[in-house]
Amino acid sequence: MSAHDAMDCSRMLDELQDVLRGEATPETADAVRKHLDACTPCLKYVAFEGRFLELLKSCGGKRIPEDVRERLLKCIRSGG
Amino acid sequence: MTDATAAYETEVLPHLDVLYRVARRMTGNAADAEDLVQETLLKALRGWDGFRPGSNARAWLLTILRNAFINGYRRRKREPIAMDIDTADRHSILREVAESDPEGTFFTKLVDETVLKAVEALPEEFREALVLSDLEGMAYAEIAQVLDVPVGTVKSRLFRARRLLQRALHDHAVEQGYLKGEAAR
Repeated sequence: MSAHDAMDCSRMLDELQDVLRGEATPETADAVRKHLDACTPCLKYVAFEGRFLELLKSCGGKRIPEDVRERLLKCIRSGG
Repeated sequence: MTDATAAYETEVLPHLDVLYRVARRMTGNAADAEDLVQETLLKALRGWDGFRPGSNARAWLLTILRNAFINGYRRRKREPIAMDIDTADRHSILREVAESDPEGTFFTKLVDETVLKAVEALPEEFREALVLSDLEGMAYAEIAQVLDVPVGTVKSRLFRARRLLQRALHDHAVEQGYLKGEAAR
């Protein structure tokens, strides 16, 4: 049985986001892995999606500007 | 400082950064983001009695922030969504965008400012799901709690948000000459 019998490309793309974030069931993750072993176009999509998600992640995580933090603290400590 | 105020600060202050980042993406500018976070903090202080110790303070605060945003800061005249992804093949945009650069190397050439601008241009319900998930790294269940929708709805909004953003970034890359090809729209 080929990988495509168990999971087609469209279904793989549906499941991929759960797999990439570690929220897929082990069975689904396994089916996606098997599909990718045998499907080059989908493997490229995974790289595409992975780079995209890396890019988004790299845009997060910035700290609040120090002056803003201080103004907010002052505000809550004076009760608004 | 009273015990209640001290407890409030212990629970709330560790989340200032995430509150500010989300507010910044939702309002699209620094001044409104600061106002929105301030309003959120004051509402949380007033509603502190309603916070269950040991429950998820981040989700609680983001819910307050989101409600404050919806009630006061949301831009009234937002462009209507010109496309309906539901009726199209849900994967066609990805295929179209990935066609000219199947492994997405153009993503590595984009600067944060470009990406964040494109995020801020997303329709609101898609943007909030994407910000909480892909910029903040929150799990489906927590996002569902903040947005007050089922996990399935979070997933479908996230899916659409990503496709729209990929298309916007792809088109930007083509316009800037990072990528050969034609803009997808």
